Amino acid sequence: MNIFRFEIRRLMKSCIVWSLVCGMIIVLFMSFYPSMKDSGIQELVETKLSAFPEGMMEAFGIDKMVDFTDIIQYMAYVIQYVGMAMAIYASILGVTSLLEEEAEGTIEFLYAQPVNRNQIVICKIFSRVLLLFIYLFIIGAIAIFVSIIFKPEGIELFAMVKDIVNIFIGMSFVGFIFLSIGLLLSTILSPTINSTAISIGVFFITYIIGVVGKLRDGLEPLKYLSPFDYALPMDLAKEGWNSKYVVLGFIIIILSISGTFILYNKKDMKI
Amino acid sequence: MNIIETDNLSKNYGKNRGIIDININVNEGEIFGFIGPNGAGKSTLIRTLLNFIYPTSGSGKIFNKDISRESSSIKELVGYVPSEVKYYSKVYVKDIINYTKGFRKDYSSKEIDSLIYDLEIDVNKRMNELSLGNKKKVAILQSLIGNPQLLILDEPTNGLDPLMQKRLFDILIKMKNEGKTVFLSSHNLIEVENLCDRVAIIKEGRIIDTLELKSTVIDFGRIIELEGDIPKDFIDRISHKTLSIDDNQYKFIYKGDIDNFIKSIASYNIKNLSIRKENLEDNFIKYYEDKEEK
Repeated sequence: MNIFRFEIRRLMKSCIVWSLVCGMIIVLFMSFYPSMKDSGIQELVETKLSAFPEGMMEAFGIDKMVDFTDIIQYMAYVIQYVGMAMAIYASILGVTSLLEEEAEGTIEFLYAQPVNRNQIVICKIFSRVLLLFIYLFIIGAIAIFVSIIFKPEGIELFAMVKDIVNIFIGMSFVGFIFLSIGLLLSTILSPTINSTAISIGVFFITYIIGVVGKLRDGLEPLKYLSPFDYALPMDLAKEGWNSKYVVLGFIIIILSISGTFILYNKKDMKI
Repeated sequence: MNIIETDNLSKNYGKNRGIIDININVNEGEIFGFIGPNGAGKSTLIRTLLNFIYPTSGSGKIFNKDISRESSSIKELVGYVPSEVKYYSKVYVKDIINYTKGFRKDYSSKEIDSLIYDLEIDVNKRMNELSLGNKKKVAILQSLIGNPQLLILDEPTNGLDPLMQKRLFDILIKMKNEGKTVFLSSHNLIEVENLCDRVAIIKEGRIIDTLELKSTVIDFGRIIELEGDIPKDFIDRISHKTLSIDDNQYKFIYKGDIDNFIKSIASYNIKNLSIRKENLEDNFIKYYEDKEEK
């Protein structure tokens, strides 16, 4: 509990910064929504987009034609990009969790205290989960707030909020997958490695593998290696959850967290 | 009662040799020193004892508990000062102290305040604003929170000024007088000699000797440097061990009665004479010279 509190206090500032920056992106994009709706821009966008090859559209996650006049679809489109930042943040939280203590040598303080390695892992996981929740809660609240401001007439408030919440549940799911992959990596990687670069790498490598899977016939199974695609906001807004991805996501979370406990208990700390 | 005991404790990791077949017994209430050159395995032993790393073979016990399996309960009774203090750089010293308190049950805030005063620690600074010596003082303070029965210190005087070194020694002697145990590694042989009851010497990962410093078992002689018209066979006869001979200049270890020695040289023409007690450093250097001779 002591470690949990200390971690939350230590990392809260960066969590708030991440939340506000991502929240501002949502506000900025959503402020364009009224003009999307009013000036027949949908027609323009559709014309332009239909000129792109289908594969390219799929790679950018806009294969399911976005109706920019639909506030939920527009919001989902915006959140898709904020979601990338969220995945990187979750990955950073995971990778730095245990690795940072070794890289900075602070493990010599922490593990000299009467705690066992499982307690360290548990507190690190729970503190990161809470930070990710706070981050998602802040940007979720901002998203709901701006969509209420820009809500077109004729859209039921409750249904709109419910859809946005559904998108954010999807974001949380993807976030926890990246967080758990990051946790596992933090027990495996050498402390000399730049953990932020690795975190960004984890996201983009899996994302690009997913794009390749979508683009190339015969390589379709590769898309399962991209957790970001497990709950794409656009998919959730239009089609809802895909049970295959949900099961796969939970398997990754369970395996990564179990692996983290097993490996962290066995490892020699590198100080 | 043995506070620390190891049985052929070995750690071999990667390219580093680590430690080989370490057998030590540290008794309750003693200050046990551990000396050796850089890379000899001092920190590796300490890190193995504290379960930062796992032994490759052999075993160890602290307070009769297994160092690998029962590390958490061992640490309830142990304070540790690392060689290089790398605590959370952006965190205030007072928060480090509070964080430590959160892990410990048996501490007195009054005692902590008194240590803060004695060690002249500024609790309102962040760790990254502190010098090497000031970081060390924070590490010493945090190691003492929770009334540890065993203190493990890895080169504790690194970076400390002479006054703080003295305050640290006073703390360690006080602990010893209270029946607590201290295990320290050091490069400073004079401090080890003045402070420790026993010292183990580690070389290339192995303990090559354990000396009883506070008993009469160890027979330190005197290092004599003599210059004058003295026949070499006279020096050979009286010296315990000749260290160097160079053109009527002699350096040797003498272990007999000093009064007899002075009288025996009285009839020679002496140009220069210096006598000092042989100390741990002379013995320590000897171990390394022996190594080079091999």
